Amino acid sequence: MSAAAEGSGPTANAVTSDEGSSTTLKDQKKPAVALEEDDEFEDFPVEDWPQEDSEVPGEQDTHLWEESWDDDDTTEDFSKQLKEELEKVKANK
Amino acid sequence: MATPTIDKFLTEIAGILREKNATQLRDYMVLEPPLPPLYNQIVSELKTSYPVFNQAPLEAKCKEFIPEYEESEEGGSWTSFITFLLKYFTFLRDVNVEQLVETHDMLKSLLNQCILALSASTGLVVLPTVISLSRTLARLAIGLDKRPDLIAHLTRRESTSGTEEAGERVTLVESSANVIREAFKKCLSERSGNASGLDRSGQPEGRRMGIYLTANLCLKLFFHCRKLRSAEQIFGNIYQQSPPLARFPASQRVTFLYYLGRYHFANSHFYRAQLALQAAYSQCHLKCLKQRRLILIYLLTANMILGRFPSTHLLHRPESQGLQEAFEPFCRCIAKGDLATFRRLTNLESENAEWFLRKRILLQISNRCEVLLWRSLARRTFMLSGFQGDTTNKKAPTLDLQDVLTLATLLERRALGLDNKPKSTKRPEHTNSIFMAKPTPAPEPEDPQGYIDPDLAGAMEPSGPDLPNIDTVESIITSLVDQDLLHGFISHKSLKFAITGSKATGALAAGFPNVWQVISGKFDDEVPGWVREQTSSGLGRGAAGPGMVVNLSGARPVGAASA
Repeated sequence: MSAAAEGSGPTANAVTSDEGSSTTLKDQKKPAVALEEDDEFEDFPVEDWPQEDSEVPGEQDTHLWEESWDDDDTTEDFSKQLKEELEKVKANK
Repeated sequence: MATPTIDKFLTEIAGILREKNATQLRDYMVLEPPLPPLYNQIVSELKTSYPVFNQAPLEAKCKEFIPEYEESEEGGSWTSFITFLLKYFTFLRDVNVEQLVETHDMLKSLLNQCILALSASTGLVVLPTVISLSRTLARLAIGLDKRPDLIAHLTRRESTSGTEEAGERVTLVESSANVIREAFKKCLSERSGNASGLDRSGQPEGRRMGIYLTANLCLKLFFHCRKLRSAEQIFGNIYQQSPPLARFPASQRVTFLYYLGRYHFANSHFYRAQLALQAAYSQCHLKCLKQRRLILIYLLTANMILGRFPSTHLLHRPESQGLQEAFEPFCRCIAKGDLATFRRLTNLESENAEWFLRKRILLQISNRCEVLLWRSLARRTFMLSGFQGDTTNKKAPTLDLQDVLTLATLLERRALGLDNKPKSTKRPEHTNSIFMAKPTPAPEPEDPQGYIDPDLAGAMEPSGPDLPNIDTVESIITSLVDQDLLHGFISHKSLKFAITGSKATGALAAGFPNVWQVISGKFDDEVPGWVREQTSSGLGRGAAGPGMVVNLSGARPVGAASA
């Protein structure tokens, strides 16, 4: 006797037929950019894998995070506007 | 009436039990349609020979093939397994998969019995079956939860039959999680082998193999129904009793670390969240883009809050699609100190607000990153108008708080649409307004004065927009100093912030230290819930023992403090 473990039974019915049923007015607002996706953390298709399969080849030393992001530029528009405002307020005193 | 297929099935099950072939047993316990032809045969034999009203003959039949007490060296009883088998047959015979709610109830009860079989001394062989049933139950529960039309009638029933705290509603999802949690407890409390819980090859021994499989299913369900308190119990139990996480397969590690990171994130422990999520991300298979992306969203937010921004490189990875457009505007305005743009981005009306809200990261960004933004604004103000210091006369660099107020007012007015546009005085909705009830038109007062609660008698009507004043600015700067994000002291009398220690490094570097370095310097790498191979003594798990209370949500770290 052999057995097929996976079926498309009750759970599949429940999962696949939910689309569209939970649409509320809020959901109808069009989301921006390519951000719409499922929030559920899906099961992995495989149980185990070696660490190499998680590493982008040749990128071991690539830095993923910027720790120094202070913006020292005081010549762009934003800073100019702020400077103008400071001068204006001081002149009015 | 002859039941050849059932007899054959039971003979083979008895053989599987003798050989202790756990995975084969799982493969035999088919539940979900379409059933293989032989199972349909079993169902029809059950229906004709063992009708619903009398279980005894079927039970006798099972015992005929599977002796209740094992006649081996180890001994042990199959009683609870036989009861499980009986329930399995009943399930096959009676289930109507069109009735999803009833199917769910039957499956829950079947899993319950399977867990009892797991607890028996002979129970290890049932573990894969328990996992498989738990997965099916979890899937069905979440599927049903997305069908409010099917479960509406249950809401009242559940609320009255809730076994947890009185008055608290136990949802269908939570009730499923509670059953799976029993399996988790059985796996975690395995006593076989030595104290480490590992066998000679370093693998988790016995039922412990199921610890993270069952825990992850519980966590999936608890997160789905937002019962973080219940998730906390899982993490607490694991932290005290589990073998090291590294000894379990990658899929289990990554899934667990994702939920652990989300849990710490939800508790405003962003540094711990970042550690767990970073580990999950680094171990996640490159091809599993959906999982990588979900991990990355929370990892990225936690890092932003802690003062670390994503590199362009990271934002160009395949799993980051669309994230650059969503997150970079925040990073830019935080670095600039652009409060006006920040307010617009965190506003509920903003372009991506709904996505950020659904991911449950909007309020965290709004509240926590504002702290970093005020630091940047103070820094920019200092660059534009601060006194840079005079070493010869030993005068410290100072920042005039009045200047910070000037700029903060400008930017807040801009955010409120008051800047250069005197016509539009309507204040845009602030994020926090989602917590406020919409004002309902007051009914016509019988008393011309209307009703005024004694507590509010004489209170002033709020008028005008909520703009900062010098007290707000002073308290914000004080708070930044307190969090070590600004280095110096405040003169309340002259309303100035003076930078100390500027001699060696210069005023900017001394007064406005690197955010990430300040924050990360305050924490060690211990993450409650995460059992690591080598633990530092005296901290966390190093000191954990039976009966110890593990507090997972204690005081807030600096990354969690608001200005």
